[in-house]
This record gives sequence, C-alpha cells and structure tokens, in this order.
Amino acid sequence: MSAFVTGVGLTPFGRLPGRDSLDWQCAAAHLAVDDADLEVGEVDAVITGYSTVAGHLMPANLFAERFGIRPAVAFGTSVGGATGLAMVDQARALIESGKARHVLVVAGEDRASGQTRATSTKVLAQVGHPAYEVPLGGTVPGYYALLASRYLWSYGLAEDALAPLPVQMREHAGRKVGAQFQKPITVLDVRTSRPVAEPLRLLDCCPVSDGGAAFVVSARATSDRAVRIAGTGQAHRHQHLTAMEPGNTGAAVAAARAFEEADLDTSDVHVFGIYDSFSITVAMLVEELGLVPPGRAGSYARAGAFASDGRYPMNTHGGLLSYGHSGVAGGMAHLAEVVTQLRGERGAGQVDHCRVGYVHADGGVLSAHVGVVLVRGTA
Amino acid sequence: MNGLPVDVATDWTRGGPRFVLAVCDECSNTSYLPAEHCSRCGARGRTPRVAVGTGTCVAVTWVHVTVDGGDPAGLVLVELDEGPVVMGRTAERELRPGDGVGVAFEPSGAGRGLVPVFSRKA
Ligand SMILES: [Zn+2]
Repeated sequence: MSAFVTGVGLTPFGRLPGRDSLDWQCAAAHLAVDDADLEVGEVDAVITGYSTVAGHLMPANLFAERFGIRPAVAFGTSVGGATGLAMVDQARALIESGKARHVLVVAGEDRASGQTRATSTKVLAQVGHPAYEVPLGGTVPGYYALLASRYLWSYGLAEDALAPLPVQMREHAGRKVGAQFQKPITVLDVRTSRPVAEPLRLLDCCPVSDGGAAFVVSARATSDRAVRIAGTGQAHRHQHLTAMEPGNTGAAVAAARAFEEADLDTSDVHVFGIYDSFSITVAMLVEELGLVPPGRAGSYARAGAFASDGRYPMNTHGGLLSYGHSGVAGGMAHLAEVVTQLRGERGAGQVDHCRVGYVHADGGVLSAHVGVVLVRGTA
Repeated sequence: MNGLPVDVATDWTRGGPRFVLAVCDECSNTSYLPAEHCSRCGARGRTPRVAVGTGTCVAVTWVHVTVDGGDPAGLVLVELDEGPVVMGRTAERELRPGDGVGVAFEPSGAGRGLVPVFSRKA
C-alpha cells in the first residue's frame, strides 16, 4: 500500500507576535486539512513535533484537544531538526500498516516571540554533550562553526567559500510569499555581517522564527494533487559533534535507504529540499549526498547549480536561511515546498518538468538524518 | 594526587587533569565519549587509556554570541595522537587548524571543575 501527502499547510515565518505554539500548530493544521479537502473528523491519527517554547509531556494530545479532534493514535516526536520528516516516515508506517487512513503531522511554535534569544541559545546548546561539550561554552552556531572551520581547512578554501549558499537561498526567498527575509544579499554582505561564531557570520546562520507547518498523509489520493511517498530512510550514527565521523554523518546512509525503497537515485530528482540551518550544514549535506564534489558546494552555488533553473533546484522557498526557522516546522517547510513544486503550483518559483523530489533533514549536529523521496501522481 | 594511584576513571569532567579514552578489547577502536558498546564492532569490553594530551588542531571557532553573554570564547576540535577527536577551549587567537597542540587542564572559571585548554606546542 502506498502513502500520499494529500495536504500541506505552511504559515508565513518571521517575528510575528500574537500567537503561541498551539495557535501556530492549529493555523498550519487548518491549512493542511483544507488543502487535502478533508473534514477534520476524517483525521484518525496525529503526530506532533516538540515546541522549545512550550514543552509538554503529551504534545499530540494537547494539540488534538485544542484543535478539536479525537484521533485513534496520537504521539509526539523529538529528533531535533529531523523531527518533521521523521513524523512523515511514521505517518507513512501508520498508513501502510493499516492503523490509520489520514494522519495529521503538525508542528509550530513562537520561537522568535515567545522566548528571549538568550533562552533560545541556551536551550538549543543542550544538543551538546552535558559533561564533555556544554561546560566548554559551546552553542549550536559554535558547533557548526567548528564544522565550517574544519571544512574550510580540509579543502583549502577561503573564508568566503560558503557565502554563495545563503545568497542563493535569499534569491529564492525573494519569490516566496511568507518568507522572513526577502531583500537580496551578496557574498560581501554575508562576509561583512557580524560574526556569530567565526568563521560563521550572521547571514551564514538561519534566523529564529515564529510559524507552523502541517501535512496530511493519507492512504488514498484525495485529489489529483496528491504526491506519493516513494521512499523514506533514516540514519542515527551519533548525537554529539565529538563523536561524529566527518564525511559519514549518516546523510548518505539515510538517503541510500530512501532511494532504495523508491527504486530511484539522486540523478532522477528534479527538485530538492535540503536542511540548511547554516551555510555549512547544506554544504556538507549536498556533498555527502553526492550531488556535488567534496569542498565544492559553494562554488556550485555561485555557478547557479541550486537555482530554480539549475542542475539541482534546491530550497526554492528560501530554506531555513531565508524563509526562516520555526523549530520543527522549519524542517517541514522544505517538504511543503517540494510538494508544491511537484504539483506545479509554485508560480514564479516553479521548477520546470518536475516529477520527483527529495527532501533531507538533519537534527542536532548532523546527528539524526531523515530522507524522503516524493513522486508526483496518484498511482 | 595526594600520593594515591591515579584513577584512570577520573577524567577532566570529574576533576582529574586528563583525557581518558576507551580502547575496545575486540577491535582496538579508540573512543572518547562514554558508551556501553564499541560503536564500530559492538563489543562490550573496553580498557581505559589515559591520553598523552597532544594532537592536531582540526577546527577553531570564536563564539561571539555566547550562552552567558560574555567575551568571545575560543573553542577547538583536536584530533588526539591516539585518534579520537576531543573538544576544548583555547585562548590563542593565532591558533589555526593544522597546528600541533598540547592540553592543559585549567579551572573552568564557572567555579566548578576543570576544562581542557589547548595551545600551540612550543
Ligand atoms: Zn570494537
């Protein structure tokens, strides 16, 4: 049995005070259920992501009560930035096992407005090892900056080598309604923005945003706009940066599992959604996925490889770097965008002739990986 | 250490001025973070080994947006001569990836315990 993404809901991201976590989740869920052309009562399972602002033991029950539904299955999920795609994988499993017919996957939080930046920095830094890393004073940008430092040194690259990636994401965001940042930027802007954790500058780092995202995953296509989940794959090889194997973080393993299920490979893909919490994140991912040679992600970006009409159209909504990063929902926006592309509904940012999409997310410090292969069509 | 034998289990996170690695009894894989099984072969038996404390710096960052709002903090990854990568601090602005480094264990400044601080070898 196949599972289909029948509905997607993506709210605008940004510093948008006035809604709390549940408000954002409900806003996105309404959009997704309407998009799937379902009555809310038809939803029989709910999977929700965590909120860093409003942590709760039972986030799916909390959401279901508030949204006003009584599903047969409900649970929360927590694998950092990979949570959104991990929930899609679980939704697909519920569908394929016959446990559910329509699974609502939802996340959202007021990460920008609901807590101070200092709190956000401190909460996120807890992905570091509590005894061996956190006491040294690291932060999430600090951990990724270490990856960037090692990367630049390993390939003999200058400090501006990664800057074309955020520049490309910003160009995409300029054609996407709801993106947090749309004003075009240059490589020079990236390199002269203030240092967050050297060599990473402010524009190498995704913002913190308010917003929500939701999907409906169904056992049948509810319309000819449905997109089939052709394959999913995960890999979990470490939690902490200190234990990471460079070049073998789990990204390639997760992708290989997903493509094997889909009986496709990366050369079949027309549109990509690749996690881009930092310039270095997306660089390491596209290289480990084998899209571009090691050390070359920035130069490929500069040459337009990730543009809508490039060899690997990627993050055409602007990614985390420019659409924004509202926690779990941030990593779901890539899938919402790829589904929209596969439906041919992307308007000004439409990628021509796209039929196959690949979405990849990581959580922690390239710790948890989930890849999803999507194919247009209801068969 | 007050004349007592060095307890290899007491690494810097517990106040001892040393890195303690674990060497797999089956495959000799050497690892740093605590784990019940060897991540390479799955064996349970490991033998502790005190690291010499020298290696090659493979990454450096200066964290400007710090958790406590303080001055920029130098953070490094060092590949120890025994193999594993460890995280530490540095105070040397000139330190670059590729430099040979040695460790000293210094008070963390947060009032509790020691932290590894790396500097270039003389
Ligand atoms: Zn072993």
